[in-house]
Amino acid sequence: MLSLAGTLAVWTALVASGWLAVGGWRAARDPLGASPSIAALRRSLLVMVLAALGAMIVLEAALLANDFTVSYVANHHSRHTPFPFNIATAWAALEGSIVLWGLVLAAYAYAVWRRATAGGTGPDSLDWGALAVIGAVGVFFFGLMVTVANPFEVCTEATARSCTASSAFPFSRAVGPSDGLGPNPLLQNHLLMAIHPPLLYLGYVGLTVPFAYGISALALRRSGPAWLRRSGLWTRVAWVFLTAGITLGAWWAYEVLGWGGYWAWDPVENASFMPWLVATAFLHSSLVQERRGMLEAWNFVLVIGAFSLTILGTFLTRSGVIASVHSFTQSAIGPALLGFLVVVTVGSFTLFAARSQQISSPPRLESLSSREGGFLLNNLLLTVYAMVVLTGTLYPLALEAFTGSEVGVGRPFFDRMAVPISFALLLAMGVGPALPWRVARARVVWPRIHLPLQIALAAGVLVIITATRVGYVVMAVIAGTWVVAVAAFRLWSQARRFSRGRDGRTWKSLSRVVRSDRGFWGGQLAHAGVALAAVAIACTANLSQTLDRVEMAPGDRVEFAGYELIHTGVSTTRTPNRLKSSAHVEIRKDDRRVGLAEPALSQFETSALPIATPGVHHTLAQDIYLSVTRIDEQAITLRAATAPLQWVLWLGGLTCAAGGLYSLVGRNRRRSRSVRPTEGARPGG
Amino acid sequence: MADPTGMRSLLRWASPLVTVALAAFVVVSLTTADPVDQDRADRIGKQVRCPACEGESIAESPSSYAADMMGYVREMITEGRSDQQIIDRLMAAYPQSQMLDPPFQTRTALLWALPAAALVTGLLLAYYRLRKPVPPESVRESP
Amino acid sequence: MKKRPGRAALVLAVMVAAATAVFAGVFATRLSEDSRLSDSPLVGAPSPVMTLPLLDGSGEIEIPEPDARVTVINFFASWCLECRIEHPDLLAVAEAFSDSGVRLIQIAYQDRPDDSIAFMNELGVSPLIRYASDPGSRAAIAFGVFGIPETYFIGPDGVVTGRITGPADSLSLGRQIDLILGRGRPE
Repeated sequence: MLSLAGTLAVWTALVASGWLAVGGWRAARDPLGASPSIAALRRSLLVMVLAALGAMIVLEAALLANDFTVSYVANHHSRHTPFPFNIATAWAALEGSIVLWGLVLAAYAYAVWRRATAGGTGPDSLDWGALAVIGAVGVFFFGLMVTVANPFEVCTEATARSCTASSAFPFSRAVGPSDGLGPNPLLQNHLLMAIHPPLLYLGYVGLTVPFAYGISALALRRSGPAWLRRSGLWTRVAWVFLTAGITLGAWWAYEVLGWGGYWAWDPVENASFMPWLVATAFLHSSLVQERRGMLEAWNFVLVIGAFSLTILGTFLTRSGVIASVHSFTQSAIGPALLGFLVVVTVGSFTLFAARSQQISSPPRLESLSSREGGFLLNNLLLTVYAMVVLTGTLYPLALEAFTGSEVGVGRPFFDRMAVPISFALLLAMGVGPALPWRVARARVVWPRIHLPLQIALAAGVLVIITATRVGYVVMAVIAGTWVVAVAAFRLWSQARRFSRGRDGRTWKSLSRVVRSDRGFWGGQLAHAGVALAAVAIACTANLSQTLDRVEMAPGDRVEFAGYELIHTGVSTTRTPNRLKSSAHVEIRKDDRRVGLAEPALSQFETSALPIATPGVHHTLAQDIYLSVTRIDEQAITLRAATAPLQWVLWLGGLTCAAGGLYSLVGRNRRRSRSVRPTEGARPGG
Repeated sequence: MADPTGMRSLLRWASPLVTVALAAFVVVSLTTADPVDQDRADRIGKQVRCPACEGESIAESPSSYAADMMGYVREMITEGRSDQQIIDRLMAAYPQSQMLDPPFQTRTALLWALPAAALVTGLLLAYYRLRKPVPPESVRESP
Repeated sequence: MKKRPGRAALVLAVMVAAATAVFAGVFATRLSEDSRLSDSPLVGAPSPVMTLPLLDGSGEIEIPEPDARVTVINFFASWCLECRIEHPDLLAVAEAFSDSGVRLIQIAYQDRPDDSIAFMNELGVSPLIRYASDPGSRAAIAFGVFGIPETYFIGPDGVVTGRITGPADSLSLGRQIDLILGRGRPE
């Protein structure tokens, strides 16, 4: 029953997105002549959204109703999967994640349409072209759902705990196991797992929209500010989700995986980080085009690149070519995604090359020391950064394929390359916003940065005197403080200028200044977030103390980082699909009990090795991170680590996302102020 | 800026001095700081991918197999072996891809060269664009 | 190059498209493989030499077995589900090839001796198979174990000739052993 409903929903969405692709393209080519069919297109768009939503609802219903005749449920769900993990199971495995993908894509299509009709004029040809591209991408993903990644197949042969054969034909005779094995144990350990993938998908899939506008503009030969502004808006939307998703993903890894880190340069992490880097580059370089009319060709490259990288990332994590902590290994979908990647990349760049004569980006950079020069530097650094991550991720595969020799590329490589680039980016972040457009003269720039520079250096001196002389930490503090101080100083001086001539006080004008240019100040908030994250990363990477694997019998105590850890006992809880053994470790400081941590090992019946869950004691200065590698009645084997200022990293990531969000809230005002399409070279300041 | 003139000239002289003094203090303290002595076993362990898990080094992985590998590393350290000897013995039966830190070799040359090439290309492009004569008030040519 | 900003774009576009096509080809060859199973550098190399304690603590055992023409090393654990699948086949092969000088050694991987012994007693033991424990996982490290079950074959010259990852069956075990015996026969 549910298989039938789900299959119907997916097919409906497939047909509707195909209709949107074809009809949207015709409307784009001939916006006036198509007007009678606009109502039909709107209907097909609504059908696509509702059908995608329907598919998701059917999948959730099948999970909640324990309908093990549905193959996805049989293979990834068990009766004992607790709430909310039974809900989250809908996207915890391959086929379901594609359903979520389709739903998010449809939602974006609807949002694009709403946005395009918001002004009352209706979508113009650029909007129709973009909707057509989104429809075409939808055809691919809904196509996956009816072929190689069909979650609604009917289980036709089953053993007691799993489904061994299934059929895509919804009227097949259904046989279901009485219970399933449940989702991957790693994925049912923490609440964040329910939130982080949808956020990440909202970011990932969101990058389809700027790509769609870019392709639309290229295909329709409509380069200029219109596509750029719309791409910029939707990149911002996707970027906010992507930033939040990456942050929560790191948080999840920290709270769940039990190795004490949050970022391992794992292919899955890289897959989300590369589009983020490229999208960030686009956010900056789009400003150059908006203000100075430069870099349009480069902007096309960036939107195409960001989308291609999301598809590449999806391929890498879902085809099984690279093993990783949270990749889905299934090869049937691999060739399809690979083919799509080639079509997207080769197709887009061919179109781009064919249109390159019409893209006018007059080289008008007057001086490298200018705001646009700063953005150029920023783009260079971010592109090289993305290149490093891409090369490092793919190199082992390529080398083995071409020469047969094996090489491993992991954390040491990425750290070595990423640290200098990140510092360079931080410095650029400190200088860039202080530079005026066109040409920066030292006598203009120096007053804007000299006080922040002194504050930053003073902060560095303070850290050296009071805390540590570890170079990376001191440099991160200096660079981070500088970034924040430059922004704060600029805010203050603008507010002072603003309040002069009026009777208001400077601090009263602050909010007016901040609201006057939400794009800029949202960006500064995002910079502050990056600065916070940088300081936190430097601290956790360099100042962490560790205690490696001590055997502790009940009652044993061990000194660690100024604390005393006491093993007070072991408890076990048995739930239907797992046996969880928790060690109780009391954390004492100055003979006072300050906390109790319960690092645990869970033995799932479906997985061989036990899954470790850390016990974390949070304080303002540092986290005490405890994990166990062995638990029994006689003794536990405990590992302990401190994570200085760990919470600042989460704060930084979310601040960064908040900055993007703030710049979005104020977009309307800016748009309405500058409706004229030829808003090219405005003198800035 | 509308600061009083005296204040302004004072700032003009004092400010760079303060900056230089602070910077000098930072540079001197950092260059004279004792190098962080990292645990040798930890440093070696961070270069080895844990075979029983995915994506983590044996120094970081909580798995008991990684713990055993680290134990072997420590044992060989007390035996007085060099880092290279330790890695060779530990990884004798494991493929090269289990190492996390790629070596500098001809077969890994592109790994280091590609990002560098991207950087150089970018710099050259920027320089090329900068060098071009700029029409003073060129108007954006619309397609 | 003078007034054509399109040229650089064209070059870039061609490069990216070409790179993608090349990588697509590379990936296509990888799609059917399991990325975790790379070839063991041990195959073709001399076997690690070591002594291990017997599981019940009653003595020690040498690897490779000195008086065996073929030593088959199998890593197992009580918590390993797939080890249950291959167990009957290992027993059968030990029986079938015992006259040809083939010795099986099963080594417990990341397991408590009590659990390993209980596991063996539950599934059946053979006097033809030796059961060893692996303190500190030195044997597993020396053989390059990724995940169990894994089975290694050592020929009469002490060279590792092959490896089976995942549950072994009589057919694949027999084929490997025949290969070694066939090569070793005309000595």
